[in-house]
Parts: sequence; C-alpha cells; structure tokens
Amino acid sequence: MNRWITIVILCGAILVGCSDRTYKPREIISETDVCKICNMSIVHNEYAGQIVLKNGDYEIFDDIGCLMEYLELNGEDEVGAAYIKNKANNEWIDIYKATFVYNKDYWTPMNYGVLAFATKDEAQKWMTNEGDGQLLAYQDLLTFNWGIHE
Amino acid sequence: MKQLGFFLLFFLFTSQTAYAEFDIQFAIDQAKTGDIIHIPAGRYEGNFMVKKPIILRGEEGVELYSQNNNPVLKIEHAANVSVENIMIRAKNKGIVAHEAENLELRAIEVKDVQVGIHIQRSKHVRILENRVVGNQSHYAEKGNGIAVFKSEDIAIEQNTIEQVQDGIYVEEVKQINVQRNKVKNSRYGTHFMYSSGVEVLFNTYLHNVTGLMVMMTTNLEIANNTVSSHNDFNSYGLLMYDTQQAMIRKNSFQNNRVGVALQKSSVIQIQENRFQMNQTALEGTKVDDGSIVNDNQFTGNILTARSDHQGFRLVRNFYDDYTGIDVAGDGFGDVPYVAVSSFGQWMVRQPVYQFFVASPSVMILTSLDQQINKTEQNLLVDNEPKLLSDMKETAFSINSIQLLIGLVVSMCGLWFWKRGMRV
Amino acid sequence: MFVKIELKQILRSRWMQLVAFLFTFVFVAIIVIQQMALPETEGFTRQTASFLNVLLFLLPLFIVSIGSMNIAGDIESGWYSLLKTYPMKRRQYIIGKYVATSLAFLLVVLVAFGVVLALGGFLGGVRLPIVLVILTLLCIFIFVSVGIVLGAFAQTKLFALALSLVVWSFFLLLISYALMALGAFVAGHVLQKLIIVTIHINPVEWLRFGYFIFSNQASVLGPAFYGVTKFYMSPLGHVIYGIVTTLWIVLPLMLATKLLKEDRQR
Repeated sequence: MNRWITIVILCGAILVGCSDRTYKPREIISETDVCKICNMSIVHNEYAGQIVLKNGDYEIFDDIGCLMEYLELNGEDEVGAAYIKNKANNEWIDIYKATFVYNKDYWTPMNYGVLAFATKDEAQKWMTNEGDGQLLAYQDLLTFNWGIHE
Repeated sequence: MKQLGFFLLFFLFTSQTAYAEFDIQFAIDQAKTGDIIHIPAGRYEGNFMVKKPIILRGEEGVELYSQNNNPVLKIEHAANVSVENIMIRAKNKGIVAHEAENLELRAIEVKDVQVGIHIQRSKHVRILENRVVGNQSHYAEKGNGIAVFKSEDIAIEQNTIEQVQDGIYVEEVKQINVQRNKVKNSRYGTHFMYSSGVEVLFNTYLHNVTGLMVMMTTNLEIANNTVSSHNDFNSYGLLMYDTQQAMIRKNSFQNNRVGVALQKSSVIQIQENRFQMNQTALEGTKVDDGSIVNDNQFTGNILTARSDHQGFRLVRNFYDDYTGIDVAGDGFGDVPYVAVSSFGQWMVRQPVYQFFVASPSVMILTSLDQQINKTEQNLLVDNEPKLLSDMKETAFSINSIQLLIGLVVSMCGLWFWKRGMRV
Repeated sequence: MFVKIELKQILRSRWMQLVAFLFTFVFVAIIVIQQMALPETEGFTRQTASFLNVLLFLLPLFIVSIGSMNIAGDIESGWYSLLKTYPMKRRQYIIGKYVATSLAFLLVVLVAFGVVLALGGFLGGVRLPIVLVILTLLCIFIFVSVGIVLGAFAQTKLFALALSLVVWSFFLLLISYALMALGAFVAGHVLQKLIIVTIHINPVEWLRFGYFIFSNQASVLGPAFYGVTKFYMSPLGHVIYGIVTTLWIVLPLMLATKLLKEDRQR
C-alpha cells in the first residue's frame, strides 16, 4: 500500500514539476503547429507569435494580427506571457515590450503588414532598408484596424 | 523578323549538337512587337528578361536554367506576351511576371525550384498545361507552385503541381478561374487569401496537408472537385476561414481527416457533395444562420458533424448511419437525424481529445449519445434525412485465391482444434 | 505433456467453443457489412476503426475471463493441489497454463480469420492488414498473462469472473472516461501527459497505440501526440515498444508465480 502512495505522490510531483511558472516560449514545430485563430500552418517562422497560458498550455499564431485577435476574443486573464518573433533576428521577444512597424506593403503571412522588433534601433534599421513605416507600441495594436489596406 | 531568321540559320549551320549557341536574350532584344521567337533545342543558362509583346516558343528539349537566385525568366511591364513549351530549372524562382497584361504561359515544365511561377500586379493572365515539381525538403522550406498576387482576371487550367508549399497560392486577386488542375504532396493544394470572384472547378487534390484553403475571400464557386487523402496532423479537405458567399457543389471529399471545415464564415452553401470515409465529415465553428448544408451524401465517416454551440443547418442529406424509417413514404425519414455527439463537441473545444477518436470507449459513448440526443432540437439536426443514397452498388465479384486461402486456413484451424481435443 | 493436457481441456470446454463461434460471427458480420457499403482506401476509416474496436473489445474480455477462470478453477477444484504433489515447479505450471491458453486462443483467431478471408473472397477480397494480425497476436499474449495473474489472485471461479469483468471494463472504458472527464478541468498539456502515462499502464491503449504507430497512421491521434508518436516510430522507439510489450507479458506471469507461492505459505 505504501508503495502505491509513493507512486501516486511521485506522479503528482512530476506533473507539478512539469508546469513551472515562468512561462517560457517554446520552439515552433513546423510539422504540427498551426495558428490557433486562422489554422494556417506555421511556415514563416520569423513572423510567428505565441501565448503561454497560465495553465501551461501554448497557443501558437502565424501573425501578430491573429495573436491580437485571440487576445480580443479571450481577454488577457488567462495569459501568462505573450511572445512574438523579432523580425530582425528571429528570436522570441515579449510583445508588451516590443516595437512594431506598420506598412501596408510589408508582407506578413496574413498580410496585416505589422512587424515586430526588440528595439527602436532595429526597427529604424529595417525601415531604412525596406521602406518607411509607422512605428507602433503594443497599446496601439489594441486599437489597430487589422485587415488589408489599399 | 529577318534578323531572327538569320539567327536561326546561323544556329542551324554552326551547331548540330544540342548545346546552344543561340542567344535568347539577344533574340528577345532584337525582336519586334508580335514576333515569334523559336528557341532551338538545347540548354541555356541565364536570367532572361521580356519587356515587350512577343511570343517565346521552345522546340522539343529546350531547357532554361540559372545558378543564381534571380528568376530564370522575367516578364515586366509588357502586354501580349506568350511563353510556350520550355523547361525551366532554377535555384529560386522559375518565371516571374510583374505588371503584365494578356500573358499566356503554356506547357512549361518547372523543376527543382523554390517558386515555380510568380505573377504580380498583372491582368488577364492564362496559365495552362504547365507542370511544376518542387524538391523533396519539408514544405516549410519551400515556395509555392504557382503564386498570384494583386492581380485581376486570371485563369489557371490543367496544370500539374507536386511537392511544393502551396500548389496554387492566390492573394488579393479579383476574378480567378482554377480549373482541372492536379495538386499532390504539397502543403495546401490551392490557397486563396483576400480574393474575390473565385471559381474552382474539376480539380484533383491528393495527399496534401490541406486540399483547399480559403481565407478571407468572398464570392466563390467550388464545384466538381475531387479532394482526397488529406490525413496529416492538421489536415482538412477544404477549410474556409472568414469567408463569405460560397457555393460548394458536387465535390467528392474522401478519406480526409476533416472533409470540410467552416470557421467564422457566412452565407456558405454546401450542396450535393459526397462525403466518404472521412474521420470527420463536417466541422463548423462560428457559422452564421445563412449557411446551409443540403442534399449531400454522408457515407462511412467516423463522425458526421461537429460544431461549437452555434451549430449549422443540415437539410435533406443522406446519412448511412441514420436508423429511422419512412412510414409516410415521402423519401425522408420520419424522425430527425441528430448528428451531435458529446465526443465530437468536446473535440472542438480541446484538441487533445482527438487521442480517443473511434476508441472503444468513445464508440460506446456515441451510441449511448444517439439514444439520449434523439430529443435534441436545435444543434446539428436534420429534420428531413434522405433515405435513398444515389451510390452505386459494388459489383459482385469473387476473389478466388483469397477464398481458397481462407478456406484452407479455417479448415486447418478446425482440424487442429479437433486434434487438440483428442490427444 | 502438461501443456497438451491443458490444451485438450480448454479446447473441450463448451465456453471456449462458444467463444470461438461468437468471435468468428461478429468478425465476419462486421467485415461483410462494411465491405458491402464502402470502397477500399488506405488510412484510418470507419471500417478499420470497427475492426480494431471489435478486436479490442471482445478478445481481451474472452481471454481474461476464460484465462482467469481456468486457473481459479484449478485452485478451487483441488486440481492444482494435486498437481503440486507431482515434481513440477510453480513456474512450470504457470508457463504451461500460459502456453496452453495462448495456443487455444490462437486457434480461435485462426478460425475466425480464415472464415473472414473465405467470405471476403465472395465479396471480391478483403484486406486483412498485417499490422492488425500482429496486434491480435500481441493482444492474446498480453491478456492471457493478465488473465492468469487475475486467476491466481482470485482463487475461486466466481471471484475470478467478477474480477476479470471489473479489470476489463477499467482497461477498456473506465480509465478513458475518467481521463475524458478530467479533461474538462485540467490544462491540455496535463491531459496530454496523463494520456501518455495511460498508454503505458493500460494494455488496451498500448495495443491501440501500437496499431497507429505500426500502420503509419500516428496523425490520427492528433498533433498533441506528435512527440511521442515520432519517438515510437524511430528504431529506438520500436525497441522500447518491444520491451514494454514483453514486460506486459512477463511481469504478470512473475506476479502470478509469486501469488501462488504466498498462498502456499499461508
């Protein structure tokens, strides 16, 4: 009997151990990951976003626009952390601290034309190379009109 | 024209081997409006540019290739250009057309490329009878077979496309006709985004991740297509996301993970299709009341329909798992067909549940469900289930070898049994 | 010698003959109905699903109940006590039982598949995927073992029958239902981990999982299980699958030997 109790406790410990509270971003698995909102598979890694829910589940998005739509639909209560790829170096950055650039001619998987960068410098550098855009902060995205613009 | 003839003559005299002395770019530059340039057989390296209305026609065995990342053939700011019967190999893009009008690409074979044919900001383009084959790598690392951006009045007909990311990728296009193409082993067979006025007819989609992906597009007709064997982790036969006004008619959805899925879509009519042996035939989330699923045939699907709490309308379909009878004799079952099942609805909410699909426990649950849910009034209910299927009966045939083997095996079994009893 | 006697006894029992008949009948019915209604394709369809389910439903039920009652009957009737007076080890007794029962069920399955093939011949040929056949064999090997340990534990026929029914319904239904119910409360990744644990501790799920792995239809289980299925589809995974399967056969047999020994000491 004691053995069984130990096993149960061990299992519990393992399960708890698995769900740590730091909300780290995970890698994209291109075989299976699809956007939670629009269902497209993630093939353009450098535009992907993800939300780590407080219960430890991950939601993956192919474009910052889809991520924002998820936040609009579900609120931020369950969200532990949200990340977006830095277009400059393809690394995960916190969306609340990121700098965004919008230009309707930038291509993104959903063609919303919004790119994310870790710093203003990186964004400026991108704009000098790829055409001027409008600088946005996370707060601006909440009221941003997602969709294609002619 | 004279100049051109001279070149051809020159070629004929100097080079009997296949290796090309013919200078295509020079011929193009020299040609006048409407000229036909016949390219003699051979392999030509380079990045060729067309900026005027001419016809490029390859002889049998013409191959253009390039070893840099620029497109092999580029057509820019030109009207009435036509390219026929050539083979293209490229590291990156095969053919790129930018701001072209009245362009025709016919019988072109594009191999080992990232992107086969790329059309941008063009009008009245016909892409016919081409063949695009990508490489073996994972679809996330490849480009599209035929991609069309920001264009108008496009016809894509009778092409064969294999092993690319999206077979036919269409973004911001008005008036496009996709007909009698065949797309295999790619990510999406045909992928529409932000387009309108779309016709998809008589195409065949096989073994892709998803056959038809339609996103943020309005005004479609999807008819007479065969969409089969889409069985990857996130596969759909046809997925419509944020799409309005579509008629989906007389298609055959066979052996897919999900036959047709509608998400956030409105005014969709799914009519007279055949859903056969899909794991889930129909899935709908946030489908409006203006959408309707009528007169379809559902046979051999593990799950007929699943949805969120909104559901969608099912009318006069045939279901092979309908158990009611027709006493009234009007060809429709007397009690409604209820497609809703607890498991199906859970699976929509929490994808991890998919593990249990068709497991013994779920089978029992579903058959219990069917008894309990008979009183269901609103969600996924068909009040007029059709009783007669229009399916052909399988012909009676005898496989005699199998019959013989079977008989021998069972006789052996019985003989062993008897012997075992006696010892 | 002992195996032969045991085999004779099992084959002679009315129970076993009834089981053989029932199993064949259900199998044939399913094949014929599905075959007439549907054309053939590869992949996971309602036909393969029902095939698999009949296998996972009936075979464990029959095997566990008959296997356990067989052993418990020996103990109850005193046959086991009699055997103990012979110079035979407990281990030999258990292994003999195991081999005899397995052979008997192999015969049942042989007859059933034979009839299916023969009747399928009339319908233009059915496909009996090799994976399904191997799965059937594994199913027999694992559940005979489970049945024996249940019988050794139960000691009386009636208790053995009750116990096998409880265990069977746990493996087949209750664990799954519990997980599904739990899924409504816990996060997706927790449910996913619990399911992975269940696959290993529930022989029914283990066999079902094996079917999807070896028939290359792992995608049916859904993207959440991509990692596990990918591992088990690698060569190392195949080896692990073999090891776990062997454990499922050997461990119950060892436990049964131990149970009988403890019983004697009592």
